[in-house]
This record gives sequence, structure tokens and C-alpha cells, in this order.
Amino acid sequence: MRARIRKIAVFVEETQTEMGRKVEPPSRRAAAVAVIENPFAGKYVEDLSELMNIGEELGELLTQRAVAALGIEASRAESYCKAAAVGENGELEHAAAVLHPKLGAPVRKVLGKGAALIPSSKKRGGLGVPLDIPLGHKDAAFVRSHFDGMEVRLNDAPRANEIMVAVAVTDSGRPLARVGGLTKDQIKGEDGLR
Amino acid sequence: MAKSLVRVLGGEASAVEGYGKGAIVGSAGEIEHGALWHVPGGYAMREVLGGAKAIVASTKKVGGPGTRLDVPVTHINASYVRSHFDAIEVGLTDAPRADEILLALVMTTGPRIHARVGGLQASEVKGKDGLR
Repeated sequence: MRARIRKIAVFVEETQTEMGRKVEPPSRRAAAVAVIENPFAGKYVEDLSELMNIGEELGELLTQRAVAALGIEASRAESYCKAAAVGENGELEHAAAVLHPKLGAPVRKVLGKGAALIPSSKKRGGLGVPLDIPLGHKDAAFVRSHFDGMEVRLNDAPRANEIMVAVAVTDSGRPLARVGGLTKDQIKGEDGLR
Repeated sequence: MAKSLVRVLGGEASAVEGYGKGAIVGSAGEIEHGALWHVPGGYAMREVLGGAKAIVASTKKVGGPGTRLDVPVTHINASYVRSHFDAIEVGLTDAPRADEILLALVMTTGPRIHARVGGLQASEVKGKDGLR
């Protein structure tokens, strides 16, 4: 593995009731987070290929960890997303190098599909910075019941020379979703939108 | 809110290249209350920008006063333009109260600084399907 990983944390949330009503079955989502060394911290480097390759490794590892934490068949995952927080000695572009060129393909390979753009966010911050990972349906971006977000945070990451990388997966949409729009039963799931 | 954003960015809708939206629901609410923002928040920006084609990236959460939210940003006409994948952190010290919702809209006028990880370029956009 090219990535030098300091630690991995996996967060699982299970919503059982909302506003006094049972959520049946409980709605579950998992985020797998890796804290890695940033090989380019503190200097401007034009070619960020090393981080792109690290992204490829983490796409597979973090998706596998998140799916394992949910305890479901990978193909049953419904929403996904990715995000990164780069430490203070890095550039936002370092987060982009990890997230965008090569991370998506292994995510989709693990899940078996994934026609939709993987929603993402990125930021630069200090230790303990909260990171919001924006979720969307993995086959049709416009499924309204699946627009969501998950916040993760590690008190000791990212250090100045680190990058915190997260992939999250869910087994369902928002609990008690009821604002209309395209539903998951209506999707064709080929163009990634509808 | 969409019109205000264009104004503070200089007044020319044609200068806007990226957008996003978000909501933080106060502790007495449900996350679903934040989902009500998808239609008015998203379509308002697309209209003000003259009919932007791409889905408006979004996120939401429930939180107390002072909660921070990373609002994701993507290109307004083609979601896959890589140089424009971005995010802005927002928040207000005294919001949302338990019975409030904080609503956010974001616009940008360009790509990430020193964007250099390849992918679809803004100049290559066909601009019909909102993706590429």
C-alpha cells in the first residue's frame, strides 16, 4: 500500500425513531475514514500522481470497510459519497488529487454499480475539524429521498502534514422521507441522474 | 438569496461557475425539514443563472447553534467538471435555534486555485445533460 495510514475510524449510525415514530427497518449508514500522511505537505508540486494512486487504494479499502460495518451485501448499498479534509500544510488541491481522478472506480467496483456522480466535499482544517460528507443515491442523483449528509470528526486529525479521507455508504434514504420528487422505485439507473 | 449572491459576486450572472446548497435544522426539527430546501433553493439559483443545467450539490444536518456545515460545490452546467469540485464551510454562532432552520446557498466564480488533477475541463463541456 502506497498510502501511509496513521489510523482508520469507522462510524456507523442507526436511526431507530424520528420525531416519535419508529423507523422500520432502522436506517443505517457507515463512514470509513483514513488518516494518511500527505507526501506533498509544505511544498508546491505540480504533478500530484502519487496522491491520485493513493486515492485508488483508499477507494477500495474505505468502501470495503464501510460496507462491512453495515453488514449488508455490497450491492444492497443505496447511497454513497466521499470527502477529505487536508491538514494546514497542504493545499485543497491535494484533497482533489485523492478524491477525483482514481478513487471512484474502485468504489463502484466494490458496490457493483454506481452510475451517479459520487457527491463530494473537501476542506482544509486543523485537528478536530468536522467534515460533512454529502450523500446521494448511487445510481440516480435526482432521487430526492436520498439527499443527505453525514458528519465525521476525529479529535486528533488531520495534523498539519496529513489528509483525512472519508467514504460513506448507506442502506437506505432519509428516515421518513416525505418531500416528493423522484423515488428509488422510479429510477432507470443508467444515466446516473434518473 | 440567489439574486443576492449574484450581486455580491459582482452583478453578472454569467460570471458564476459553481453552486451548492445546504441546510442545518435546529434540534426540535427533523432532517426531513431540511429536505424542503431542495426545490426552492436549487431551482431559484438555476433560474437566476439563466437556466443552469446541472443538479445542485447539497448536504444537510441537524445541529445546535454554531454548527458548521461544508456545502459542496459543483459546476453549474456539467457536474463532472473536475476543476470545480469544491466546498465552502458555513455557520452562524447563534443559529439555528431549536425551532429554526438555517438555509444556505453557495455560488463561485471559478475553479479551485491551482486546479491540476485533470479530468473534464470546463472548456470541454457540451452542456446538454447537466453532467458533461
